[in-house]
Amino acid sequence: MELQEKIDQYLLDQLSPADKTKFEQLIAGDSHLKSEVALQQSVVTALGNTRSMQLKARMQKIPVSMASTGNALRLKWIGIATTGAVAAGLIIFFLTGTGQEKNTESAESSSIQQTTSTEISPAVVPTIESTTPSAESQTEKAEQAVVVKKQKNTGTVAPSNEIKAFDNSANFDDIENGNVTTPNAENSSAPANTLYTETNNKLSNLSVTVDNSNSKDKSYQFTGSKLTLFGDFNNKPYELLELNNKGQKNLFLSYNNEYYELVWGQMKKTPLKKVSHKETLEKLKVINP
Amino acid sequence: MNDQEIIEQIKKGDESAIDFLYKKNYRMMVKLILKNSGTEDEAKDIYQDALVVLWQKARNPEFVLSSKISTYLYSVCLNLWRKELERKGRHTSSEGMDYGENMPYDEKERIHIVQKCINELGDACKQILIYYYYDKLSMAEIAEKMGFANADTAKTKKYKCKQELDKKIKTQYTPSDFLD
Repeated sequence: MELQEKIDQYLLDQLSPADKTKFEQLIAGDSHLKSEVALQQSVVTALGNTRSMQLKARMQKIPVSMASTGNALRLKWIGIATTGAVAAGLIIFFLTGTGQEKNTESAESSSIQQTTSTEISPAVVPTIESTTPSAESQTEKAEQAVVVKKQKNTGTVAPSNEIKAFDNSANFDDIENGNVTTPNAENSSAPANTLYTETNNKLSNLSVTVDNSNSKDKSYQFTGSKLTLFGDFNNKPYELLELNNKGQKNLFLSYNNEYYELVWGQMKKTPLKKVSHKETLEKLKVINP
Repeated sequence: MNDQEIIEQIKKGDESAIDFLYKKNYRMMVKLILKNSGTEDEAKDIYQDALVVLWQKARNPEFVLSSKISTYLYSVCLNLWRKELERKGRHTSSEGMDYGENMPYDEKERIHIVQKCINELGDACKQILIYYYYDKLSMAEIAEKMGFANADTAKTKKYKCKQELDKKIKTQYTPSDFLD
């Protein structure tokens, strides 16, 4: 085997423990080999730095912002939600004559997790305020009453309402080394999606399966609380989004930078149709930039 | 995609998995930093570094994610931010993060030398070497990503690119520069 290949295998940790020990003994007794290995180690490190910069530059181009949901838009949605909730409440009150409340979207959303935080000064040796990963501000909770975003996998998703506080006493070095082993980190029901919230039983009870036996055309079909997506969806992530608008809940699929409208309960296998309505697209981009 | 599928995509060198994670957890991670005296720019930087850590860790065949990805990223962000605050506390300045600050000067210098030579390579060569030495992709995977006919073509290209890089380094610097 060529020496360069052997050095590569050593640096890429591809040698067996026995071969590794043997090679290290060789390095120890050969100054030329030692310098060559040191040089090649620098090459690997420098390539890693280049890759890190590439990845960061790539992420930098992704349009995300804490303000991306826009206060004005958020207030508009809250306004719509509030008006809708009040109107619905009045109708129910007058129709039933009992004033007995039924579960509304906004009432359901009130079950969103509590924020657990430990405010500690970030000075010198900082202990950091750790917020439950899913915790959102009150404003965001209000927003989530009208905008529900949910990532779906290929199986049934049964997310928990209970989000435990993350324990910031975790062994940070272990964590950075890829071993998240603290009990709280292990057991924490940290959310898969920050914008996801259990506000909609219909959506949360929905199970999604992908049938990629025919990967040419993409279509969908509802069977009870099951949504089947037909086509090749496994290569890229997809998300289910729901917009509550004027009392109506519209379901959308986001896949490969495109949005498709899904009609709840569509029992017939229906081809996916791209959303073309400009306003709807804008709203979808707000919740799923 | 579930967490395991995302990790598989990362292992295959699919950057779109990182795009997906970045968008998905952005608000959570940024909020964490903002609540701990950071700015959104600092938060972005820390969060991006955390994703780079995940990308790097996933390269290790023995890497096992024992929590949700969001929990993992959250923990790495906390750790990186804690280190950044410690660094700020020591230097009381807000220079960019330097994770190599504990590295000996001559080692930093060596890496700087090599970095310059890598930057002189063509884009394709640079990418092949990154895929091989950092992303640890197989020759077949590199061939697929680079649009080469097959793994053998990728192997030949990688060999030539590596030779070119070694030549650049060695014409400018002697091997003894790399000795401690």
